[in-house]
Amino acid sequence: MKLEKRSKIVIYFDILEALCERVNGEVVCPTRISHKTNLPYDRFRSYLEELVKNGMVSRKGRDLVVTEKGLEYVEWHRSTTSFLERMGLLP
Amino acid sequence: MSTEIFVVSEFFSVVLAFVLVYFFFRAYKATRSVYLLGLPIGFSFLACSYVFLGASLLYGGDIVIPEEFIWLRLITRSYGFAFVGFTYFFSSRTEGTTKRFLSVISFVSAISLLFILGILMVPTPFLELPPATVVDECFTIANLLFLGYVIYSVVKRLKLARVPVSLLWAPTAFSLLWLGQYSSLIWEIDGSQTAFAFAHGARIASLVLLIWVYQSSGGAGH
Repeated sequence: MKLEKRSKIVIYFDILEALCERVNGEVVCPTRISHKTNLPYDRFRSYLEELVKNGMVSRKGRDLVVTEKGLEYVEWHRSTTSFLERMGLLP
Repeated sequence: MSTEIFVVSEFFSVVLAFVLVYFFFRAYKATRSVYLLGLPIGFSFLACSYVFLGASLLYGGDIVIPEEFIWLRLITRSYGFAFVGFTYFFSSRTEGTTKRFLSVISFVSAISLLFILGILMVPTPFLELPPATVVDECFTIANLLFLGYVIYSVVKRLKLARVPVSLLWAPTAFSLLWLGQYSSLIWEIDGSQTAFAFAHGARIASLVLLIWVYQSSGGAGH
């Protein structure tokens, strides 16, 4: 079954959520995040640039860190998803 | 005295419906899934219908309410429920949802615009509408069908997802909305004031419950 295309906003959320899932303070590898979010690397890079520009992700050396604004966005998206699930609206 | 209570309850319904419009629009903004636009559109139509009913109750004793005004109330109410129904219909489809939803919205909007323009602009002898009181029951039965479909969809989805009982508030809210419409139908048939009062109570309870579903899922946090 063919699935509906993810909207840009959902892709942002998927990237931020993947970035939040770091284990024991390890450095986040962009290639791994692009695999995890099912995005080709070039598209992942362009989305990442937009997230950095919007202040949701910051670069610290080679590492990528989700900012306070990014965390707020993740929380907002999670609560909305929970609301839609409770309303019986998620496919 | 009872008329004033009903007018106040209409006012509360309008406020609650617009709060829900805001919440549902936020949900759309978080996902950008076009089919979710059906909820804010639907509840906006419902809020308009509550304004029309409130105005009918408020001025009904002093002036004769024009037939066109009652028609607008019936149409906006049914459109509201239809849009909520469309949202649930399209939420269960995964392929081509956006395109189909936009087609349906465009079609329904075009038909409604033509109909409303017809009511407002064409002189009465050329567009003889049946009396609103006669078709009132038909519109309410259509609303019951739309809401029945919504309840069926929510219960089916929740059952599949095996959610805890505490998450059954949304189907309860829609069931109350259904009961409200059913009571309206009884009131339209026999003019029972108890049924009319129950319709108002059930409607307000359902709207409050839907707001609570949003609050309890952490939606008010940001």
